[in-house]
Amino acid sequence: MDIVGLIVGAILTLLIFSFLLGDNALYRWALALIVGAAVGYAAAMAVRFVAQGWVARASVNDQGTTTSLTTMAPLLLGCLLLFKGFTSSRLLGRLSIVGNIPLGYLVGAGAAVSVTGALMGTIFPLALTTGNGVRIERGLLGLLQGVVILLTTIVTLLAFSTHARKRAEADVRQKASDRAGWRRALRQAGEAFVAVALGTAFAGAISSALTALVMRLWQLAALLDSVMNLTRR
Amino acid sequence: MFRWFLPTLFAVIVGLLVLLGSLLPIPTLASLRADLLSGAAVIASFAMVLAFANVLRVHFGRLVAKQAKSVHATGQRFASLILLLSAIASFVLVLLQGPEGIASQTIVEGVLIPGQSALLALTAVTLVLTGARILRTRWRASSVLFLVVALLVLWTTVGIGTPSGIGMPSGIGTPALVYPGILETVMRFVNAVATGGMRGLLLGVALGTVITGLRIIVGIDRPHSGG
Amino acid sequence: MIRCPSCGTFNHDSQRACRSCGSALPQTRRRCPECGALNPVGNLFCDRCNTRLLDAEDINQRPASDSTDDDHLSVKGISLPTRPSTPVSIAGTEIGAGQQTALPDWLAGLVDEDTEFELTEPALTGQDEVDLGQAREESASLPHWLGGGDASMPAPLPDAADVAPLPSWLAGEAKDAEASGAAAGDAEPLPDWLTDVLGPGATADEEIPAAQEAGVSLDEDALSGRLSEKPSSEALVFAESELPNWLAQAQALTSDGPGRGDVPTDRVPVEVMHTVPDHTAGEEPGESSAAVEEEALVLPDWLQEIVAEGAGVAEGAGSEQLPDWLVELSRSVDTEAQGAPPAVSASEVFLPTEDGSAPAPTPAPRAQPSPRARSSEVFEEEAAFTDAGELPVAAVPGWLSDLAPMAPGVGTPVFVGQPLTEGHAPQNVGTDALPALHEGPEQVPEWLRDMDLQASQSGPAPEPVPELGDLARAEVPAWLQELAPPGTQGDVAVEPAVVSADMLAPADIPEWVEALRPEARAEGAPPPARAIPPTPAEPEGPLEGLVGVLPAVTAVDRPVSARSTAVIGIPGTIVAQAQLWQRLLEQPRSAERSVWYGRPSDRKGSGVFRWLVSVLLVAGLFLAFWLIPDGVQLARVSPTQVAPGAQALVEGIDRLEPGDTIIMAIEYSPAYAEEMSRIAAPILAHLRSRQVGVSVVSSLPEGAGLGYALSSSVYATGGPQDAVGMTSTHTTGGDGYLAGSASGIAEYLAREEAVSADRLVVLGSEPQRLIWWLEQNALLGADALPVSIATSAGAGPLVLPYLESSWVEGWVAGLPQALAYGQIRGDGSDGDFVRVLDLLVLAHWVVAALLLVALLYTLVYACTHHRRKGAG
Repeated sequence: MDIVGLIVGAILTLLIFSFLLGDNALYRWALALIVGAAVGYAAAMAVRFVAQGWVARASVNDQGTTTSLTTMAPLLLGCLLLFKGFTSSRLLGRLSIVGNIPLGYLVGAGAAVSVTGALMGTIFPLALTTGNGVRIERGLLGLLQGVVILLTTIVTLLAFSTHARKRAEADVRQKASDRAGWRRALRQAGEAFVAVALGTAFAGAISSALTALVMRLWQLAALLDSVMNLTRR
Repeated sequence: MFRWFLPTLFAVIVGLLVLLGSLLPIPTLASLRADLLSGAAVIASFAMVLAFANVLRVHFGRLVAKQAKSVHATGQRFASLILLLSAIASFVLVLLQGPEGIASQTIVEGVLIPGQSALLALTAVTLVLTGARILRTRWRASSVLFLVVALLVLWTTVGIGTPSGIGMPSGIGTPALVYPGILETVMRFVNAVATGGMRGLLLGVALGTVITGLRIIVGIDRPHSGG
Repeated sequence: MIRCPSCGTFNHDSQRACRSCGSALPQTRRRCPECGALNPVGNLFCDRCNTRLLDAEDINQRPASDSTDDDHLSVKGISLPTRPSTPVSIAGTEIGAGQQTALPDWLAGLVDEDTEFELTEPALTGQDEVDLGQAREESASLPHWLGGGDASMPAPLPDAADVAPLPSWLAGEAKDAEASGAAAGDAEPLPDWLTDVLGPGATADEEIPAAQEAGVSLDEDALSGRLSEKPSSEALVFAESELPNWLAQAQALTSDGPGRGDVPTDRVPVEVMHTVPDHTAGEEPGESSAAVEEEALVLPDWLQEIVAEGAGVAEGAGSEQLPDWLVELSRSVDTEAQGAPPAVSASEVFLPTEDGSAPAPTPAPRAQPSPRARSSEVFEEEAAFTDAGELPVAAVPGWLSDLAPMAPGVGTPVFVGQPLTEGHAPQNVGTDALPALHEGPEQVPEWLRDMDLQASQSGPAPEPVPELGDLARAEVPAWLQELAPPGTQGDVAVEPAVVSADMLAPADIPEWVEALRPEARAEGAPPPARAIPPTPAEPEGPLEGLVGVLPAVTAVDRPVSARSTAVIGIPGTIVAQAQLWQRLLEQPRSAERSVWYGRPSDRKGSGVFRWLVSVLLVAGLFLAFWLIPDGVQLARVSPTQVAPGAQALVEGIDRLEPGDTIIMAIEYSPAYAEEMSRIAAPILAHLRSRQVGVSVVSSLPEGAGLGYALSSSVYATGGPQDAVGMTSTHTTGGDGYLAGSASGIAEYLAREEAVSADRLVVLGSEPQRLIWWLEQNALLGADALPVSIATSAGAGPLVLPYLESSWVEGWVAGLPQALAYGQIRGDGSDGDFVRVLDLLVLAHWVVAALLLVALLYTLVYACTHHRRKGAG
């Protein structure tokens, strides 16, 4: 199985790398294979999740039934969601709007989770961490670093909050003040800080991609080495 | 009724209950929140199945559609056929065996990991080309700063230019080696600025998320109803 | 895209304010409130959903091009007014803004709506000889029926739609009848004068529609020699055999001219079609045919009236006096001419000869050539009339002599543009019939009539016009004499006309007409240097400083003092756009631009660079696998510098006790599986050494499978099911898959089994999923789990603020930090791991070098090449 997996992986790798020579059919076929496998895998896992969850809920239900409200309601809503796939059908197309109900359910739940998570998991911790960074106990260098982080955080936040404001409603006075020196300096400083942050992210993305490239070439080399060893024998 | 009223009603009710259950230390609310979230997970699974069915429908339609007899069209139909076959095969195998099955492992280790890794490896070439062109398309100070920082980080990621002589063949000197602290200080400052900038971005995103979420919970925004 | 005039940022068409600086943007599109489609500014209704875009009160702001009122001069362009704002009195006819309809129809028909009237300062004073070229220039200001128009300027052309309704035979209805299968014999009969032209068997449906449709594509040669040395581009001729006698004689007289060719026989005076006089509209064919048969020319009533009144105008009634040509007209009013042009445009007036003989060569009515050519033809043909042999006794130019009233029996002249009212059928008018001119006052152009009216009001009563016979030979004005064809000038015995000033009624000639009076010039003297008003340079705008870009248009009926202040309904958006363009063009070239539009040479360089990168990265690394010796280690990391969070992670895991349970969240996609497996290997090994239980969960569908793959690769103890300590959650969710993304994570962390775990270790390459785990874990408050993170090199910088927060106990990001983690724990260096890291170092070198080369190349290119300012 390992060797089979290696061979299949190597073939797929070469087909994908053929894109460097130009877009071709082999690359597209390999892509179709990968996409199909991923989609099928995900759908199967989703079905297993629903089925196993239904069984598990039934098992913990006091009545031992599988038709309690907490069990059936999500299934019914999920079935309503399936009507969203019939938008092109004449007969069932009109029923597609009933799929908006489970969508509303999903959106509402997701919004609430996001709100609480952003509040409690991002805004408060990051604000606290930024403030705690400015401490003398961290030494001069640490203090300086903390001040730099604090200033850059504030400047970046202010720069993009002013930039994101709706310009359509800005009056003449506001536009004049926007062109004021300090606002412009603030915006430019914010852009510079974001450029630094994104530069590091760009380098990180290249690093990850290079890691994947190295690993893929490593596998190819390892396979080739194995084949050569086999042929030598 | 079904287009926006009921969906909005569901969104508002569910959102409020989940929100209150997260913030208020009331056990009833907490358990209600847990039930609502598990229901959301089930509905999300149905959405995944719906997406799978849509992919099958689209590619099956391409397969049976009457197209011009050309090499390109034939190649496209063959690609759709491969996608359909691989999707159905993986669906059946994983559904039956589960993720721990041999077939599932073969799919993961033989198809998904090598294929997607190779695609990620291709992006290395693309990212380098993009970085080389960035100044040609956008000649600004921020672009120059972006590229210079990326160069510095790449240079120091695996310790190429650190004072410990990482990676540098003998005889090749850099200013950092002459005065070891310069590069370290520069990178420290760069990291501090990068951290601050990223924090500002994340805080901004979080604030936007809060506002958008509240608007959905209140019913002002209705993405579920197309409004 | 709209470019902001302030900062130069490009914005979407629908934006009202700049997204960068907030300045107001000129609107180039209007968004439909219903469907959101972008529509041109001038649209009243949406192109997509037909929703009304403008309210009623905003309709006036619509562009002038939306106006469909053909009666008004449409606005062409922004800065070129076409209508005087102040009423201009031209022969008593006020022409001002919105009063275009005050013009008589015959004159209105000559006005092209595209014509831009611009008056120049009067430059002509006095009488002088004018050479042909100057005459052309000056004649631009004269009405076309007076022979105005110039080759250098567009003269107003009558639009077929503006003239009075043509008779059906002329309007081409016969063509429709033909198309519908009407018999030729059923076609509406042509007027006799036209029948003479076409022949007895011709019908309206045969020739007229074709010619009318042809758009005046006529034989140039036929008229070229007759008219001048410079043949006009378009000419209309008659078949010689079909011409009326007077016209035939005229043609015969000029048949010796240079360059004359055969006259085609299938032509119809299309010009006639365009310029049929109003007074002939609806005229019974028999009337004109009878008049033609008599071959007599009568002065049109309107002109006769003028002559009659003009003869009696007292001198000194006003500063404006009758021009000489009009004086001559009054003298020759009693001359007889033979025949009359069957249909003559208003710009061509023919005077009959005194003795009724064939008039001077008269050009056949021709189609509408270019106005300039047409006017030149008129002058040229008029010059041809100065042939001494053919001149009437009075030596009046042919065209002028034709204006004399016809002898009884002579055909009725047909004058274009004059409404034919009842009782005013063109009739033979002799010298005794002058008073009859007054019977049809409506025939007279208003402006011309008012000239007499004003004169009569302001001055003494006009004296009776002397008999034509009492007049000496008409003095041909020098300027007109200049127009005579070569060989004829010297033959004209010009005697000065004895005309006393008191014989004439002072004509109320507008100043602008007076200004166009030819200047007197001695014979042989060079033409004076005309004080032609210099065309001013454009004061502003894109054409600033340029001279003569716009045509020097002189209006026929606009006085010098006219100033166009007409209220032109130009919408504000167009004005704003024009102002924007002007502002952009006015900016100095040295203005700084922050966006560089210059690009180095493209395709080949990009392709070469792409090949270079591909070869270096792919082939180079592949070869390096064998080329780098085993003993060489390129990558050396310093744990404290490279992995600041690794120590805390080691310490955190070291605090775990055997039997503890940790939750391991697999949050990376299969693309990062190989990298994450290398990063997580030392951590998993550490966990295994602590003998803790690992519960694998994932919000990704592939996560469970990746977890099994990870465990098998790390532990390598056979199948995944044999992995020590690696279990999957089976209580709910089955395979460890948490559907619903953040909701699923939140739901899982709310479970009892999750809360009871001792640590949360997140292996992730997707920043958002990492953040979800951290956020939902923070919501647990006091029950929050200690979190450790291992992430890829790409996700590390994006989640760095979280990694450095107090919520995270230890983290590693990327392969070097994972190696540092192993070094901290004292693990022996894995040979393959180091080898991979060496290749990674080499790859980083190559990429850094390539980016540096690209940066230097771009900098050099920017310094050496011109940098566009982005003005457009």
